[in-house]
Amino acid sequence: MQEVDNRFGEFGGQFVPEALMPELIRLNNVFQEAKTDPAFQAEFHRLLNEYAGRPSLLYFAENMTKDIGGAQIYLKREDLNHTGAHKINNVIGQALLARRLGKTRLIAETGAGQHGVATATIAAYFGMKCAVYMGKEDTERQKLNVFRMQLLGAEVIPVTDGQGLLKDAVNAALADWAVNAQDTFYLIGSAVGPAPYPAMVHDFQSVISTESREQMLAATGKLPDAIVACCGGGSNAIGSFAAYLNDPTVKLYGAEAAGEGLNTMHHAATLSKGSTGIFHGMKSKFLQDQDGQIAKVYSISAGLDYPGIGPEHAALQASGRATYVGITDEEAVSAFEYIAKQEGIIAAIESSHAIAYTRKLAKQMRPDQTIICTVSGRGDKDVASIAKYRGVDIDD
Amino acid sequence: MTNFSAIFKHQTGVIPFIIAGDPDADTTVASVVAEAEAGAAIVELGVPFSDPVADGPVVKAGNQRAFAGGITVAKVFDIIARIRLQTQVPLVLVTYTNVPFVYGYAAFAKKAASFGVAGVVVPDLPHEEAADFRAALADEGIDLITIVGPADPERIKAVVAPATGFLTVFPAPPEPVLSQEIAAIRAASDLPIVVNAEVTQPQAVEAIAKVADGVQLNAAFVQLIADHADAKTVADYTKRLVSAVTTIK
Repeated sequence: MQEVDNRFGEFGGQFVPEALMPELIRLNNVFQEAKTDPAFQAEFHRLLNEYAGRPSLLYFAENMTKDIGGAQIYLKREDLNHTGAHKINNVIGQALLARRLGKTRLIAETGAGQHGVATATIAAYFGMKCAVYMGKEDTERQKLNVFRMQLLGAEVIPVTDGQGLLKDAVNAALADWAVNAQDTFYLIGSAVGPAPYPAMVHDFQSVISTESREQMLAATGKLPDAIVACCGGGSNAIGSFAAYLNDPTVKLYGAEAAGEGLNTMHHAATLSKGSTGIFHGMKSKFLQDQDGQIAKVYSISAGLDYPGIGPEHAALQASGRATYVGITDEEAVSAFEYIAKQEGIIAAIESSHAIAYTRKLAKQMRPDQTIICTVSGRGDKDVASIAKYRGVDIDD
Repeated sequence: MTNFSAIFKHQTGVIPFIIAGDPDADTTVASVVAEAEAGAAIVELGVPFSDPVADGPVVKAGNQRAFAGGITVAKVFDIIARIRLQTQVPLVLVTYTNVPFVYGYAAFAKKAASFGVAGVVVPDLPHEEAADFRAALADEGIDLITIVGPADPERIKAVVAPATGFLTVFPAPPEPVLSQEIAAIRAASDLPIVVNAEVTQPQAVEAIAKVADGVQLNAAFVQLIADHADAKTVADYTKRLVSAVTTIK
C-alpha cells in the first residue's frame, strides 16, 4: 500500500511528544534520500547478501504438501538468515540510516529477542553502543536470546512496568530515545511506531517478497496463490506481502496470536478483536478497553504478544486486501511439532502460527495451487518453553 | 476561550499537577481545592492513561495508583464536577491522545466544556497531528495547550502559529539554554510561556519563574501525593512556591 502524507489509508501518522519531532523529521529526510541513492542501496544489498546470507531459500515442502494433500506448500526460509530470523534485514537498513545521521548508539525493543539479537549483531559489526529493552517476563521465557545479546556486547535492560512484555519494552525504549536522541537511534523492529518507521520496515523487509516472487516464477512459472505470514507488529508479514500488493490474484493472510482462544480474555489478536486507537506513535488497531486504556495481552509467543499492529496492516485489513486470522497456542505448538517431524525444520513459535494456518489453508486449496508460508525465524530459542508447555521437564 | 494572558499578567503562575483518582477521588478533589485556595494560578488535572510514555516513573506510578483505585474517564468527569462545586480555578486536563480519541474528540470537548475546563494538554499530539482535536476543543471554547520542545526557530514558528491559550516548554533544558529557548519562542508568539519543571525546591522554581510566565510541576506534586495523599501537604507546598515567585515581575 502506498504511504501518502505519513499515512496508510486512515492509519499511521506521528503521534509522539514534540521533543521527538525534529528527530523524526531528520530521520524521514535521510530515509527519503536513501531510497533513491544508489550508493545506499548498493551497500544495503551488499550487506544483505554478504553478511546476512541472502537470498534466503524458497523451499518446496514436499512432505507437508503430500501429507496435507491440498495446495503445494513453499516455505520462505528467513530462519536461515544470519542471526536466525528476518529481523536482520530491517536492522541492516536502519543501522545504515543511523550511521548517516551520525548516531553512535542503537537502542531497540524486543519481544522474543530476535530483533534484539539482530540489533546487537549489527551494533557489534558497526562498532556502535547498543541497549536492548526487553520485558521482564520475556527475559525469563527467552533466556537464551538474552545471553546471546550480552555475548554480542549489548546491554539488556529488563522492563518491569506493566506486564513486562513487548509493549512495555517499546515504552521504555521511547523514553530512552526522548532523552538521548542526540547520539541515539531507536531501531524499531516491527512495522509499528510513528512515520517513517512503518514505511522503513516495509521497505527493508520487502526483500523477502521481492525474492520469493522471482523464486516462485522461476520454480513454477506463475505467481503464488496465497502468502501466509505470522503477525505480531507485522514486520515479516509486511515484508512477505510487499511485492504482491498489486497482484490481486495473490491472497494475503496474516496469522495473529489467538492465545487461549479469540473468545477468551487471553490473546493478542489485534486485528481480529481490536478497535481503532492512537498509541506508540501511530493510529492503528489496538486491543483496548472502552476508555482507550491499552489492554493486557497473552500469547505463548513473546514475539506476537503485542496489543497493537502496524498501521499498514490495519489499512490492508480495512481495504480487504489482506485477511487476518487467529491461531491459538495449541495450534501453534502442534504446528511447531508438525513441521519438525515432517520437514526437519525447527521453526520459531511465532512462525509456527503461520505454519498452523498454512495447514488449514492448504487443505481447502487445489493441488495445482501454491502457498508461500514465511518461516520468519528458527525455533531453537523456543525449545525449552515448548517442552514446558508439553509438561516435559528439561534443564535449560 | 480563557484569557490566560490576564492570569499570568501580574505574577508568575504556579501550576500544580494532580492525577485524577490518585489514590482516590476524595484526595483529588480536596487537593485541587486546597491548591486553588493556596494561590495556584491554574491546576492541571491528569486523566490517567495506561501507558504514559512521555512521563517519568513518578507520574507513571501515580497513574497506576489511580487505576488501582478504579479510575475511569467517566469518574474523572465526576471528580471535575465535584471540584467545580468548590472552586472556579482554571482547570487544564492532561491526557494522552487515545483517551479523547476513543471518547470522540467532539464528545470529549463538549463534556469538558460543560464543567468549564479551560484547556487540554496532550503530550503525544504534536503540531502535525493536532488540527482535528484543536478544532473540536475550540468549538467548545477550550484551548489545546501547545507543547514547545527543543527545536530550530523554523519549527518553533510553525508549532506556535496555530497555538492558543498558553505555551508549555517541555522538556525544560537547563540554563542558559532555557532562556535562549524562551527568547526564541517569545520572538514567534505573544502567548504566555509556562515551563514544565523537573525541579522541586522553591529556589529552583524561583529561578525558572524569572524567565517564564508560569511554572508547572508534575513529579513534585505527584510525589507528595504518593508520600502523604493529603490535601494540606500539597496546599502548603503550593503556598511555598507561590511565595517564592511572588516577588517576580
